[in-house]
Amino acid sequence: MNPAISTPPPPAEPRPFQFPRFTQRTLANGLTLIVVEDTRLPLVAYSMQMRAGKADVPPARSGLAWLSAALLREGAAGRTSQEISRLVDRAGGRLNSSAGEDFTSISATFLKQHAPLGLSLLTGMVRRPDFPEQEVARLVQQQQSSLAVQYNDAEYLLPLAAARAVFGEHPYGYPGDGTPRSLASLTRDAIVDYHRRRFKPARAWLAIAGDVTASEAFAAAENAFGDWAGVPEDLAPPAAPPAPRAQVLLIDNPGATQSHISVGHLGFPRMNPDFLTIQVANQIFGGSFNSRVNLKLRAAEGLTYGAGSSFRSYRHSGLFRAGTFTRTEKTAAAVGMLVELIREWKENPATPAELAEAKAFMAGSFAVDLETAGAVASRVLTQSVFGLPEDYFPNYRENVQAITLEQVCEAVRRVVQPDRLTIAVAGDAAAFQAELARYGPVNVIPMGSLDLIEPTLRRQPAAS
Amino acid sequence: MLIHRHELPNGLQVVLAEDQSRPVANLQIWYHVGSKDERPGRTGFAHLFEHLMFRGSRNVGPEEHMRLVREAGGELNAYTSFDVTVYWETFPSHYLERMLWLEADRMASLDISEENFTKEREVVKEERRVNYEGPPYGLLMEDVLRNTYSEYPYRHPPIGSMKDIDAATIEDVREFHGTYYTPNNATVVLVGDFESGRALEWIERHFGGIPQGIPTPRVTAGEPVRSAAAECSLRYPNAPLPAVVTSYLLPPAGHPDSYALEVASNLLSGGQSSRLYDRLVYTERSAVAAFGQGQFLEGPSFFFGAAVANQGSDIRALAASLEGAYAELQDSPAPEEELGKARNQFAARFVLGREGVQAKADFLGRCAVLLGDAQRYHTERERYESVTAGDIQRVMRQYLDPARQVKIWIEPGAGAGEEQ
Repeated sequence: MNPAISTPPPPAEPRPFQFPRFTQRTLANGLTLIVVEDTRLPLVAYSMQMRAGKADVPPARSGLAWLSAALLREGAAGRTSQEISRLVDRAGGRLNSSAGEDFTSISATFLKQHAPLGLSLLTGMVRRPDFPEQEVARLVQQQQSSLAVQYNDAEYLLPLAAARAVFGEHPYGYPGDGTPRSLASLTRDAIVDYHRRRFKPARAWLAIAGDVTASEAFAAAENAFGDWAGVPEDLAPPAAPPAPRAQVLLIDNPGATQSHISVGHLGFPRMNPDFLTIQVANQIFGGSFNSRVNLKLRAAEGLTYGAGSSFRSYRHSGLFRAGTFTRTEKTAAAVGMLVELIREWKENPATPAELAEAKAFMAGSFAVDLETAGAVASRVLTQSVFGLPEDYFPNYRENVQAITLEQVCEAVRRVVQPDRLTIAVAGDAAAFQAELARYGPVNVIPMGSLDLIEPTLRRQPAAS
Repeated sequence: MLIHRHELPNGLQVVLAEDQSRPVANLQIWYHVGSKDERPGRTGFAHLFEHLMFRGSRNVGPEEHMRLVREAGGELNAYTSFDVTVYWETFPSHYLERMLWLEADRMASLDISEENFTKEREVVKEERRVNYEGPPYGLLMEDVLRNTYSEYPYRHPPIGSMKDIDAATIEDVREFHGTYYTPNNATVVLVGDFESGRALEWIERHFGGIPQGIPTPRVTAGEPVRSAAAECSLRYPNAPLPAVVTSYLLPPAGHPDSYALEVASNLLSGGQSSRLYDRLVYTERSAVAAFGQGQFLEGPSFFFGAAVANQGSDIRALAASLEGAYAELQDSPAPEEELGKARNQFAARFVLGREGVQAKADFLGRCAVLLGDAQRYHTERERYESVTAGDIQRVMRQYLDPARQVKIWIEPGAGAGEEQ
């Protein structure tokens, strides 16, 4: 038999790892440039962040930021959509654009020999998109078809409904990719106007990572964007979201065999000083396979394939949410467990052993997650767009290790509000509606009547 | 990247590739067992078994495996396919010996309580509900396989059926571990920051004492050549857009024709300038999604081509257009420019798609276990590059023969059911 060694072998001496070097510079027009040199592979990755996202879009126009981003590659700088596709595919490159809560991302990854093409395509998309009328119509029609499918999918709808319930009429509460009704109202003029107001160099960051020297990269970027002019208009931040309150929202899907569950409340903005401490704390609560939430609902109870929690933080606000899915007959039990775990967490935020494991994981996995030049650039972009200190990621492991048990306990007790939870469930409501009434006023909406723009979340009868 | 291969006396295969550019390594244990090896009445078992590998072995308690990887700063997971079950860890390299010890302990022995077995079975049933039964079109692959294969055990997907998952017993677990989780049915793949001599010493120390198992049983069934085309309609209650699916049988992964078929798949579906996207999604606007790709497996493989109708478009016309794109590749050679584009896309994929240690190990494992030679890591690319327009036309005619096609119409509407 195997002469088994009964305890894990100790680690070897760790190899020193420094956060890879990067260079940062701001052009006269306000565009911030970041370069990460890495000659291991012959490729160059460009990544631009533009401060333009869901936060800037009025609710009735939901989907505008998403559609504007998606259209960037459908015609720009005199090249048609098909010409752009052919150029990208012929070089074997990748070209993507998407919009999130606060930022639009445009990225181009190409082999080194095609890097100038990658930069040229990205520059065209950012500075001279054409937004051709027929492409607007095409993408809207396509998205309507996709939504027709997704509105049959409880897993898609539940987090959107939960976000609306938590954020109220704050722009973060509305679906980024629009609704059937909001998409119908989006016109080319609205898209052009949005792009003209929001895409400005002083609100843009460009990272160049890969097989390129900093001086080459700066020269190429200066050449592409140096004469890009324009001053962004100041937009007032959106009105604050409503204060958390206990409420239960049920998206009724009669006959469903499984329910999707979200329990949570408003979080906090990215620049909140609790951010990193709460990320560590969340590792313990629901941020990993070994977290309290997953160990209870999956490992100990066999209720689900996955259960966890997250704190998402954006420029203006954030969201705390624990979620899972389970068979219909166990839905009320699973909700009860999540609520109870949140309560317990506030009372006992972390044991010394839990904190040590969470910190070891976050500090140790830092190098694992920084293998590629693109991954390094993405961290530098994050610290730059949010205005974090320049040594935030270089000192990340030290910052994590310095967090104390007292800090974790204080932060969790400050942030977590077990008596003001928004509980959202999509499933066969008749099976658990009565039991969930103890958590707050219940609002039941048939899945087929859900309208994520309406204040009542319920589709209004068509006007005659 | 220099590749070292070794075999331990107990039959364990070892493939090592050093890359010291970052203090990170990826370890993968490839067990040569997948859903095709399951016995009748036990579909889904290989995957259920994979879950159980995280629930305790002689020296590692339930959930301890995860904890020991995590506190090292490592990440881990596993997956079960038709042909293999793969366990992996990506971690700061100074923890290599711990990872090897963890993997060796669960290869040597499993220690699963009846209670944990029962719970894990429920976990897998929830996985089936959330990933297959709930999502619109989620059961499509299951239906395609059942209609594509008549005998070969690719007839069912790795997730298996609810009934068979329920039927599994803890005796099945012991038997499966004894039969398939043997050193002579496993390959250790290690890529990253280590010194090969030292790594091999540790592998021998921890795996060397595990006794060799019985010769691994292999699938003996074949898949008969289809003698006629077949067609059926299925109704999906929560899928509001009609769809059409076509499938054909293909030769296995690594077969000389598989490369031309993969390049043909690229011409059909590789990027937004590909024939299917450009024609069906962009120009005609008849589809919201359209693709056609060879799925290359160890046994008889299959081509899976499908289009989902855009709102208001006619599904019969869409199907004709999808098949029209196949016919064009059969009737005339692909232009040299288009072939050049495909070659560039393959060349780029070999760089952009192999950036980290994990992506490298994924491909290295595939070469070592499914293609039978780790050194193919370096030579596969040439096989794609040497494909000619004539090759593509020939394989498209030979394998995408309309007389041997399976066609499935997916119709929206209440009441699931099959109409032949």
